[in-house]
Amino acid sequence: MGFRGGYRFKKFEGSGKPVLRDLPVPELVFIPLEDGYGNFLQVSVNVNSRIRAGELIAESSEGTHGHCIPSPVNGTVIQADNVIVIKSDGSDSFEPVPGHIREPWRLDKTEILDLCRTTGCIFLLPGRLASPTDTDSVKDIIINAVFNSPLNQSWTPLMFGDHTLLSDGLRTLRALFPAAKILIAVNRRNRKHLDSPDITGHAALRVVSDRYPQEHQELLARDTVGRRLVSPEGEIDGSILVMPVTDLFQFAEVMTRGRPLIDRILLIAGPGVSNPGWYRVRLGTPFEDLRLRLFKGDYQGPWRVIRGDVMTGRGIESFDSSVSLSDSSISVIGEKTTRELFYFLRPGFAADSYPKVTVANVVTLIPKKLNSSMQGGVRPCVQCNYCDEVCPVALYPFLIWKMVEASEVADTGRLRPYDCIECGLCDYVCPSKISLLQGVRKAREEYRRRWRGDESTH
Amino acid sequence: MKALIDRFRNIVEYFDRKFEHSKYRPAWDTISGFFFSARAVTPLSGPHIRNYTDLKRYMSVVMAAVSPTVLASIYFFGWRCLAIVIMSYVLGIIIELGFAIHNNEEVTEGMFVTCILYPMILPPTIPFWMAAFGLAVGIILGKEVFGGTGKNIFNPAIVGRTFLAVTFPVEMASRWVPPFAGWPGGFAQWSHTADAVTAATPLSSFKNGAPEQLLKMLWGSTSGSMGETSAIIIIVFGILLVMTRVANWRLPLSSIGAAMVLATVMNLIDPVRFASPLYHLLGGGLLFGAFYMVTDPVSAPFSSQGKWIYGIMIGVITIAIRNLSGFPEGMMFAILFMNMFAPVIDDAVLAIRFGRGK
Repeated sequence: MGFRGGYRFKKFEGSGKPVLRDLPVPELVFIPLEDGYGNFLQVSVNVNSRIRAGELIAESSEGTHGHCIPSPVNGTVIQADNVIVIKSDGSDSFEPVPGHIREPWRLDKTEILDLCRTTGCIFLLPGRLASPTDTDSVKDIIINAVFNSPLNQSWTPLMFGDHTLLSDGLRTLRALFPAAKILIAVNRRNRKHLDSPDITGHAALRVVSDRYPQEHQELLARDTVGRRLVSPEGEIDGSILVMPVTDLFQFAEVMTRGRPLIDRILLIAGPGVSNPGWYRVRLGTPFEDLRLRLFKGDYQGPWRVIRGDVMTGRGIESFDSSVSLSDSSISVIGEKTTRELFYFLRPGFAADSYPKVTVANVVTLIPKKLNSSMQGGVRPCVQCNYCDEVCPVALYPFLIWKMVEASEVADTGRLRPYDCIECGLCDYVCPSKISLLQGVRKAREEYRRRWRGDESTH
Repeated sequence: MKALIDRFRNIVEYFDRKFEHSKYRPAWDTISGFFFSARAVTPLSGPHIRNYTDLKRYMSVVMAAVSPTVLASIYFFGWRCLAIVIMSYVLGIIIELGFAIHNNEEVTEGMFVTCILYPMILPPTIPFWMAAFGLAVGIILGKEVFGGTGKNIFNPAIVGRTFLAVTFPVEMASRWVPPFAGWPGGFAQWSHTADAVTAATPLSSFKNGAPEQLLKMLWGSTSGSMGETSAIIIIVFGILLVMTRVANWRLPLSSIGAAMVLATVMNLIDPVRFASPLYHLLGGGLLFGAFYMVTDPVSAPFSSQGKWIYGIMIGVITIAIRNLSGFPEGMMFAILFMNMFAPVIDDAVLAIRFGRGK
């Protein structure tokens, strides 16, 4: 249940509250036609045609990744080249999934997979599923309901109350992957919410650690089924499927309730969000729209917007992009630029610190501040060992970083940089503010590059 | 107040720009960085947040943990102790700024710890020039020649002290003074007069057959180096330091534990020749060394297993030197000796854990 390393984040300001709200339908939606695997989809609507939310607007028949995209809004198509732009009329109704049935688990496996394709649901499953025979190779399905990251200490509101939807989703999964064992990984404090016959009749509950980064899929695979999800060479084990609980929820909605895949359930949180929590956002909603509706004003900022969580996500450089199915959370944190007097002597009432040297380590009630400050100058490594204490995969990040700095990348192989899961904890705890992760990443890429090179020469 | 701080920030930032392209920039950055936090933000590729503790705070915590010992040294030996601490800071900063300009790198905060630890392990009667000489040797030969903080093999404070102990054996080993007692004790004194000199330390008086009282050693009213006498203060603040995670708990535990075990065994063999474990614990530099010198992360092994080996060896060597050699005290040599082996220990641990391979 536990693992070596990791770190338990305490309450941060702007943490998501367990409430699910609908975001109003945006004026314009932008749907890129690249499917994330390098294939372009065929547009099946004309410019200026009126369209209902849920109607198909693009599809791809290309063998392995064949799938369709439904329109997220009611409105008029105003552009359809490599991006489909739809001007919405503001209404929030939608067409149900054509030909949906209440109990899809009674269908044939092939029919379920076809339903996944025509609804776009295949994106919630691994995209490499091509034929019904592929689903037989999946031996373990891990539903990821673990929430340990700084802004997500609570849990999704989806787990509250009625479990029939989740239970129907699990049934459908079981019909689609008959050979797989399904288990749900949860935090200890959330176990009671899921411990009902509706759920446990279809999947085993497994309590895992409350320390970040337990929710990383590689650690989940390691700590629940005891196998590696990603090999040292970077290949993903196709027999394990890790599915976030929000994805299961949306999968069940589409497959059993007939709600088309027109939106995405996102955690939008951070000190820069007025009402941090879970939101149902129409796919293709531009970030600019989120900024206007949800984020605090720039005069309270400046803010940094991150696609993903604050540890592993990427900051966005412009608000041009739009919400896609690959987003699962958006974090907005302060972009710190002012210099404060005698920063290192402050008691730190609201400052999370790995060594227990701030008041916040004793008095934990005050929510911790969250901003993008480096919190200090970059210094040489003093071997304080914090990075290897927290490393969840038992690496010596500072040692790998030192070798990379000394241009000895090629010799880092024995320190196993390929085990790194990029959780970012080493950077977080470092008192010398060294970007250790960049060094480890470099060593890992070098290892994989060399491995591929070796393979091609044989 | 806020306006005043803003005003001050503007002045500092004016000089920031002024020195931007000058060779004195690292030196100025050190001063500017002392007053104001860094402006840098995390890269957009993430992770986007960092924990609050930077190296300044990290080292300040060590300084805070040592400062009660400095107060104790003033109480027992007079204000001259503080004067030596201040002198070592002034000299240390001058040397470090010089190297900062020469290497074009900011001063690393580790030196602030060295400059407070170093005087604490010197005898209270040390002449100023000698203390200064030892510090310069410690910083330059113990740290800077290896490439500065993080690259040094030896603990610079120990290097400085060892250099003095070998070069000036009389001043370093035989000019002890008795501590002041009562209230205000040393707080009303500058230092002892020259004729008070010659009182032996607890460890040497045991060898001469006149052991000290344990209670006096716990409180600290014995002769000895400035900071090593008050065992109770070192224990309390040393444990606090370990609890903050700034000092790794394995190091003091293993070194003190091993010393206690060996001292007990030897004491059982021959109680007349070998002092009891408690006497070894409270007398001399074992406690101060274990909590503040052994825990120096740079010169200790980085692996947990290596830390155990390192600590145990220090404890064993200390007691072996104290009991079996002509020297009354062995902590300094034990640390210096094991500093040398730390990289080898780490290498062995890595080889066992990760294999010798590519």
